[in-house]
Amino acid sequence: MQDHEHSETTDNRQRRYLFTAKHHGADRNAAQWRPDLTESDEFAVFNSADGNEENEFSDEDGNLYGALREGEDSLRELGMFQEQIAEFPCTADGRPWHGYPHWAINQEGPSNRRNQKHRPANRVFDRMLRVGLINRSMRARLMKGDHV
Amino acid sequence: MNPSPGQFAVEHLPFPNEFDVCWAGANPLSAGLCFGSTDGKVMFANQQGLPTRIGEGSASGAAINGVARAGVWIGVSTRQEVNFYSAEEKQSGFVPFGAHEIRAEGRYLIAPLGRNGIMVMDPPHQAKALIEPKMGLYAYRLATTRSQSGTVILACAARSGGIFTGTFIGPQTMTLKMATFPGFDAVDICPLDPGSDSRGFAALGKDGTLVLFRDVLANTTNSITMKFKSVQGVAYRMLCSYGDIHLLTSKGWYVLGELAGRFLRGELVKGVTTPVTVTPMEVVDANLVDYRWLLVVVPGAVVRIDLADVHRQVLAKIGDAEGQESPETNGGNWQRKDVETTTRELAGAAPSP
Repeated sequence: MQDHEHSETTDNRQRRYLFTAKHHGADRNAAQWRPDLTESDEFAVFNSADGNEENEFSDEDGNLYGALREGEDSLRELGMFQEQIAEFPCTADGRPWHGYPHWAINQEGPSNRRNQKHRPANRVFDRMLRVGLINRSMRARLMKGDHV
Repeated sequence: MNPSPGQFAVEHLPFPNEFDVCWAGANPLSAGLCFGSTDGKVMFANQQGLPTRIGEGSASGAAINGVARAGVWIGVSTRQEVNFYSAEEKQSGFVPFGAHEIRAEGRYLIAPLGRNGIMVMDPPHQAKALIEPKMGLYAYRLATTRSQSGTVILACAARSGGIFTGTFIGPQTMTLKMATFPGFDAVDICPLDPGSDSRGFAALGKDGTLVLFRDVLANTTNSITMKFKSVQGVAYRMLCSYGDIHLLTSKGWYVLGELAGRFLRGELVKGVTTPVTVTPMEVVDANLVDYRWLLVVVPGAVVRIDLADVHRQVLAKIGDAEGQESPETNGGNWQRKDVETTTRELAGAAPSP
């Protein structure tokens, strides 16, 4: 596939969304969306992250994180390595956003900072709990890097 | 088939609001318990669960998902990094890769690092990772067992990659046996008779599928794949003690009475049913302490259960007509390969005084 923009914008902030070839098979070193996830599903993950200042699933750098509920107490697998959360890096106003499944644990290695940030930040899981996307035990498990 | 409601004695260990407990296990400093919090703190406690010391466990303040001791070194794992501390001197350091848990085997700390393979560290020396470069090993959960002759079997649950097993010899290239079947998402693995010479292991699928291996290093003809209909929810953990298998799912704690014991003794033949009990709880995580105590983390508390007492009750109910289940079984459409690992050094922060 080639990069292309979704025809719809998000419900709350009318953000645009770009499907990227890099995360759909073009770069084997990059996180990959599952092939059985439709474009509509992928956009729904992004739409779940979008909200007003109080309830969007964002970290202090403005990155967004989304997920799709599956059944009573699970989240749908989004990536080829069973990732259940997706990350949407902060994008300049007016530009389309893009995203990819986010590793449950830090796979990237060294940072120059001793206290490097863990992503998603804990407040993202707190907000997911507040809106009912996850329950208390799911929150704790996701914060540890466990599956739900 | 409805499982019997569990009527086991459980003890609730409460926590103050400022300690949001997410992990529980054995105290690595002395006899007793140890707890980890979602903001990276570690609490050491006595056998009654009363705190004796609280300290920072994670360099980044990430949620604790494992604590283990190898020699004088305490390893603390999080999704952000693996931390290590000397129990004798004021020395510490960390390896900047996230882990799903941490265990000790002899003088080594070992941890599953996802796509980065299996970390093997002889602290404070450089950590190495055993990597399986071609098959896409995703190291998720680890278990080891040591025979009386000293041979250590390492087993790894590798999600859709199935399971990887081998004879552990430290941070050196090794041959791992990979086994999986289509649709199996391996989320946990444990020895069936820990502390013995048995090579029996059990692997757990996310959908509750159980695979029992009589000899995990041999071919799979000695394995059985089964699914108990009464086990509901997303499977999280599986632990084995006194011949009983304990499954922790999003719906609660299930006891599969004498399942491991009967399997290892060759008594799991057609027509034999397994007593299944369920105790509903909001499970976060679970671990064994001394193979006797089951610690189940639930939001805001830890539940402690005496598994010797549970096993006595299991034996008393083994012939009951109610709460028994004969699971669906099959041999599994197994795919097996021997794979060679490579090793690579993991850049890390040197120990600091």
